Amino acid sequence: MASRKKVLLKVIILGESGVGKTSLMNQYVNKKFSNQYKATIGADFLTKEVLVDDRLVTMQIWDTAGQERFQSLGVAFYRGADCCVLVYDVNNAKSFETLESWRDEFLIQASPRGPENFPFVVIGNKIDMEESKRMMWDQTMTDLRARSDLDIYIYDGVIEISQKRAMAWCQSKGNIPYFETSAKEAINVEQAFQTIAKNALQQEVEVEIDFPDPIKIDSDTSKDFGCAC
Amino acid sequence: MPTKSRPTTALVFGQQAETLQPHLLPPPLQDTESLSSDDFVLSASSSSSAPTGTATAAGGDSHSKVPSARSGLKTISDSLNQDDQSSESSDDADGRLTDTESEQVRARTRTGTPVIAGRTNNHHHGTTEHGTTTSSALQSLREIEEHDHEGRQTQLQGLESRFRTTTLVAQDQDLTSDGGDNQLKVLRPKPSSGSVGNNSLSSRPKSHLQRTASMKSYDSDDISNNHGGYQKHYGDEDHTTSAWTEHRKHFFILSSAGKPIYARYGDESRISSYMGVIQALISFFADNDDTLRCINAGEHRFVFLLKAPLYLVCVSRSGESESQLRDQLGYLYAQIISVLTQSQMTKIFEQRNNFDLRGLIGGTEIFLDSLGKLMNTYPGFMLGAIQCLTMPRELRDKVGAVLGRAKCKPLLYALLVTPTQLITLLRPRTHSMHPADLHLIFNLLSGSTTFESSESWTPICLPKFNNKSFLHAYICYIAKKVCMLLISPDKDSFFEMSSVKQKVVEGLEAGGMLASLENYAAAGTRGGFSVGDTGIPGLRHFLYKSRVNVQFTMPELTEPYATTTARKRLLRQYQNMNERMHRKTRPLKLLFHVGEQETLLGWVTSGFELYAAFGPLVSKSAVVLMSNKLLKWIRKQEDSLLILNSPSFEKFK
Repeated sequence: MASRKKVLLKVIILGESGVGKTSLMNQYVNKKFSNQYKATIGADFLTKEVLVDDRLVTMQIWDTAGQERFQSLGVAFYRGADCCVLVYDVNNAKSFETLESWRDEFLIQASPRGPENFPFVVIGNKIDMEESKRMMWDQTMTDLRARSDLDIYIYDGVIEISQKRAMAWCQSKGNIPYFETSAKEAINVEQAFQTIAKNALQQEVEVEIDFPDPIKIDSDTSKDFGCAC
Repeated sequence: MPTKSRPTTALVFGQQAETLQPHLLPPPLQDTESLSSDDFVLSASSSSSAPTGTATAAGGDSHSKVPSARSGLKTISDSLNQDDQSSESSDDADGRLTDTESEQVRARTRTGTPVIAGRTNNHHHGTTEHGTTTSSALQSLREIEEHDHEGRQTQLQGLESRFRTTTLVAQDQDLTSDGGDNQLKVLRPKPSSGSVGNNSLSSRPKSHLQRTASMKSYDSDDISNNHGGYQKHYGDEDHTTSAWTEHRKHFFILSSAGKPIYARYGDESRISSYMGVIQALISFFADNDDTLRCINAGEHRFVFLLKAPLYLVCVSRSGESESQLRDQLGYLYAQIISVLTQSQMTKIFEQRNNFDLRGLIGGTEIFLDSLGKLMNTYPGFMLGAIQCLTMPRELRDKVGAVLGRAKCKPLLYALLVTPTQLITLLRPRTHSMHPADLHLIFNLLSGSTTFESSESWTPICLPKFNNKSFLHAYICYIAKKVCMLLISPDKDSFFEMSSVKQKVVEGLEAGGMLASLENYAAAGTRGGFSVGDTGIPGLRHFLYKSRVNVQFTMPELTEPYATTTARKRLLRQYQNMNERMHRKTRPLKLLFHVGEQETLLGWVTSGFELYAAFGPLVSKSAVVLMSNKLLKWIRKQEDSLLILNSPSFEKFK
């Protein structure tokens, strides 16, 4: 039976370098966090078993490198993904703005069936930004606030990419689920991945299996392998 | 990883030479083979030269550790003139080589004449106890079949129950005493679409009825237990356990999306991260239109076989060569095709490249496991040849005649086998059977004991015959270790096949052949004949392959090869010899190898391949003498060691 084995889901995590993709994955799978930044080289792979609606599924998480120079893993790398997670840093406007191109890139390379319905999940990470850094950001952003063309605002002293803006974008892309997380403080990580697994499962549609046509045997289809048997 | 890429000419060896010989087993991966010249190999260690102690006495270019004796045994290493052996011969040994070759040609012409051996009176209609049981059970089965037919109308096609299994215990208690045959079992593919017009997947309802029906049949006998309760050996291991890393040879099968399908050791889903790494590596090279073939790292060798939508990878420190390991991956691939057919698999992945294939091949992992084991013990895979049961030719011919006369219309092939040795094969004149397909059949039978107790009917794709569709195999043991396979293209011909079997059994019993078949099969399972039968002292073991017949023979493995470890070691020695002799860049015709524990001779001509093991202290001239004597003995026994003329059905019309 198809469901006898645990379903395996291929989940790809994409986003700018330094937004915390690996940290999110590590928090989720190993419940660990390190402040130390180590760039992912190529890709990292982790496996986790989760229970989704009483169904045990294996998540095969493909963590990719954000840096351009490592993005040479090739078209085949994205092939057959069940869900794609787009991650940005809520404190870094540029990382949000590139989400669009990450999404497009993924759709081109993975070329899933029915791209409009392919499950994406957007994660705004680093909502925990520490105090000192906040201050610094605060100052910069106060300066920037004078510029009316930027959709950035101060919220409880923390500068963020407007949650509204992120959600609006998600909505425009076909209601992509949106989460704000902290890999460091383990906020919302579990919930985000639960949704990822759930939406990925939707991709697991059965394929149509026909029994192939029977073989017609006649001398035209002669098969002689030259052996005596 | 300290890697160095360079063209692989030096590292791609072996099988290309074989593909020149159409009757040999071509490696089932020609499409990737053709890429070889453009391919690169990641290599952490350079390609190894001939194993230590190997003396290749070729002009000037040798690692001769053994002083070249005056016996004049010559290793001809010229890769271009493989068949031009006689022109090289100038001394005694070579002179004799040509001698034996012409003798062999004579032997071949001899085999051309059809032999119709003495007819036996085998249409005797004595109903045996055995027969009655089967037929009464058959009748009940027919009832079930009819009942089933009705059920079929309401049942929707479901891929998870590709096999539907019905078990029946014969009701007649008086007759159940004769062991085994009181159980009948039908493995039948689900009817193809059509009876119910609803084919679309999303809208296909999972009816409660279907669920319970298939659940029930899964729990009802041992085959179905294989589907559901398949207990994998080493299934608890994963990459974190040291036992897992200790295994000498790993096989991994994944989809081209990087999803795990099969791992020889460990739970494939728990090591799915490794599958991702493999996919990333392959993808990296694919982006430059390149193909990753082999990585050599220390004592480990990583061999890749890319058969999109599947990737097969072997990680081995068994010492086998790249081409041998790739051949083995090809056999695993063929095993998967035999369950799914190529066309079905391609279609599935075209529809969904994220498909988790494990659901579909579920239950057949045991055959991948057993194939992995068989390839470590049975030289047929390395030789691309099949082993025949050693038995007198007259008996073989008589048995073949009984099979031939039982022919009915839907019957394509009729085979009698001990699980891994061929007794006889009846075929249409226009269709021979490829050794690779026969190996799959041997593996099917030796991989599961489930066929021993019942009549089975199962769809099987024989990839070399036709990889697009299923044939259907009727499988039944007619005596201990004697299994009959009747292969038909018609999926509804179970009862016809069953009656063919009945006829054959009656015919064999009437001629008193069944008992002697059983005796030969029992002897054959031990090895058929012993090396002592050759009358050559000093000879320990040998492999002889007739390239013309694509068959091989070997004596029983006795001391010093009685233990599993010793057997494996000997096979590895043969594999090393085989690899060295068939290496693409410098194939050899003769190889004399002095090892620590034995001396080996390898000898390849256009007609045969001989690998012989002698004691460690035997001189080269003695080896030559004994090998010639051995060849003479084989020639004399050839018609009982091999099947020289496989009969076709047309002969019995």
